[in-house]
Amino acid sequence: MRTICTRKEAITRIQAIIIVAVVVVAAVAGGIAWTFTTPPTPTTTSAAPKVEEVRIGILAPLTGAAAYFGDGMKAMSELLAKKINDEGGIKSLGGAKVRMIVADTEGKPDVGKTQARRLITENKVHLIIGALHSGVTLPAAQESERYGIPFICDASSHVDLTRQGFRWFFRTWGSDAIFARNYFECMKWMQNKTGIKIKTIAFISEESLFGVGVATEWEKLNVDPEMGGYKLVAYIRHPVSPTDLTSEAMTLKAANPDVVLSVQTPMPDAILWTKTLKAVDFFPKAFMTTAGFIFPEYVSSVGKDGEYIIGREGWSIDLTARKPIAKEINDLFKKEANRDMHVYTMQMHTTIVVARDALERAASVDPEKLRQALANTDIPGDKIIPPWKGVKFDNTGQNIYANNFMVQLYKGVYHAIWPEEIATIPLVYPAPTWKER
Amino acid sequence: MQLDLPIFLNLLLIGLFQGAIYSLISMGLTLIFGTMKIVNFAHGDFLMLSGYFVFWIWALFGVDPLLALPAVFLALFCIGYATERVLIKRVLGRPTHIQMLMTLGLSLIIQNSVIVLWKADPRFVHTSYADLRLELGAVAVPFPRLLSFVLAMLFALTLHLFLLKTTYGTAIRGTGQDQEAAHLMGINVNKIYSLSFGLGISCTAVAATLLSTYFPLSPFLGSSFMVITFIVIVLGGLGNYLGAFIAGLILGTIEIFTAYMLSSLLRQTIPLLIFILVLLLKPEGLFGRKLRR
Repeated sequence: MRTICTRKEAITRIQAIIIVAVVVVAAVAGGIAWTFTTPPTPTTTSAAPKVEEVRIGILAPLTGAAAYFGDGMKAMSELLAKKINDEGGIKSLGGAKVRMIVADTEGKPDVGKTQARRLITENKVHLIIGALHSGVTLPAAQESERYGIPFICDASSHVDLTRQGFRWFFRTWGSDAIFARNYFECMKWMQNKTGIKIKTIAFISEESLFGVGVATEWEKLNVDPEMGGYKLVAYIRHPVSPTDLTSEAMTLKAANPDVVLSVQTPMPDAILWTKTLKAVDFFPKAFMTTAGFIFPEYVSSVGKDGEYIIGREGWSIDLTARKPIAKEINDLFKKEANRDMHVYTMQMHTTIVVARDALERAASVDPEKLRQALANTDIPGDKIIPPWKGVKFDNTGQNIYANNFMVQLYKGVYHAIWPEEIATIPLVYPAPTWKER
Repeated sequence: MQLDLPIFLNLLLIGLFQGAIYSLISMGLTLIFGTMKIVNFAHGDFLMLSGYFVFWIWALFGVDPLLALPAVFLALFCIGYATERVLIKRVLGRPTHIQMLMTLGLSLIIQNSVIVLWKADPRFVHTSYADLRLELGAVAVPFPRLLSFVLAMLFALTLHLFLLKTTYGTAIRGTGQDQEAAHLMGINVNKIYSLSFGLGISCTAVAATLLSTYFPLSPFLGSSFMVITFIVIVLGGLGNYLGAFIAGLILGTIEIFTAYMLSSLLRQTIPLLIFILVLLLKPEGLFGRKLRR
């Protein structure tokens, strides 16, 4: 190897001095910047000044592929701020007004992190709510840990979020581990209900953090004979946004499982799966899905071909008939936004209910007092829209009552089928084959 | 997975059907490159835009995609022609990175304009023949895909004849071979550039129309197809439209068999592996010999 430096290539002494000087200046400047941006440890002030305004930072994707969801989240947060203020603000704080500061994450982790920091350091928010995508929530929550500001997570479900040992993080929504369990609980119920045994199952998952995360949980659950114990006849992992799924659908058909559990996020992928399963003439006794399969645009795209698909959901318009709070908030939202809520707007409501409750009990905007109030949260089910027993956090910050329910697409509308106490239609199982329809 | 004859035939047919779409998209891209020596990174977005045209003609006027094809073809030809006149012309002969920035920028503009205009919601065209299946014994193929394949073949043949037999076709090929000589022979090279770009873009119109009969549409459609398209044109020999046609069919078939026999996750891996091997061993592409001057 030739590594000899010629005189011409080597740096001169003056250049070396300049480089060293630049490095030293940069290091000093960096150190100063760090000192100024590193938050002081939260201190409790004995004589707190009167709080005029409570600032809540909302992290939502207002642009990018998930902008459709972010729009609803923003509208809901502003609507609820107005509602709280009209009702007299935060009473324990002498009627302090609530102000929502919505920051756009663009659905990107780095942007989410920067926005979280900006909300804390520039807007001086007392609480953060967000940030829909698990990948964005994680770095954003790290910022709130660093500065010691409570973070209430709305709808990010990745299991790792509550396994970080975060002190300031509270998740009202369930984790993928909880949701994965819901499928197996529902399968057990389906068999008891109809007497038709499920022997074989198959997983189809997109190759994403979310897809593989959920499928891994399913695998674990299926090993447990109490919970699963079904014969796994196919496990298909496919890229996100494939250009064709015929081979995958043929593999599934050849394996002929009783139940297919699927996880696909983009709606076009969900549509392609549905259409391709029809093209190869295969439909399992139960096709249990999530994400891409449970939005109105999916239904309008696949039309009747979507019938009998089962989806895991946190929101259904059926809830408005069951829970007065669901009807009240949906009506309010519809009046303002001219459309029904979706699951993420619903979750914005849940988190704001939690935030308001904690603020009232803390009677302070001191971060530590707020954190303690959040940790002691115990909100009954009738105050929130999801059909849960309520909101109560365990020591990892996970809401122990969070759950999802199952809906089935029937005559063009998703109806709740499980748990039975919230069901609005009887389950169709086994689903008719394509030829029987 | 085990492979019996009916499944083999089924996979082969679907592979060819899928490949025909790749061929169509790639022929347009390679035609543009062959004539103008510019890589159009916005090609996939023109495909997506064509898809939206098909969708809106269907949604607003109830016109079947295949009947709308001539209109969409013409519209995309005009858009391609104008794009060349207004934008591409300015970067021809400039350094590659300038050309890349221009077409990548164009790609972003098209994609985001579509999102602003028509939202990111997926769309699907419903046709009366969408659910028809042709069953020959144990082999069953969806009718829309068979129809797409036949029409793709017809279009490829027409394009081939156009390039081979007509004056304009000869001029396009001539310009691709030697721009200066073409100029000296009295060919209006600038006009041929616009024509080639328009024609290349209108290939995406045909592909999108055929796709729309069974594939969902979204603003991100183009990116799904672009990776494989680039592999196809390299495999076929850059600028060689016949090579791209055959390479498209081959890669489509390989992809379908890979996904069935090995894993769906290798769908893109195996073609990419082939891509690397071709670049290493035969950089002019499998069918590149003809292009050598």
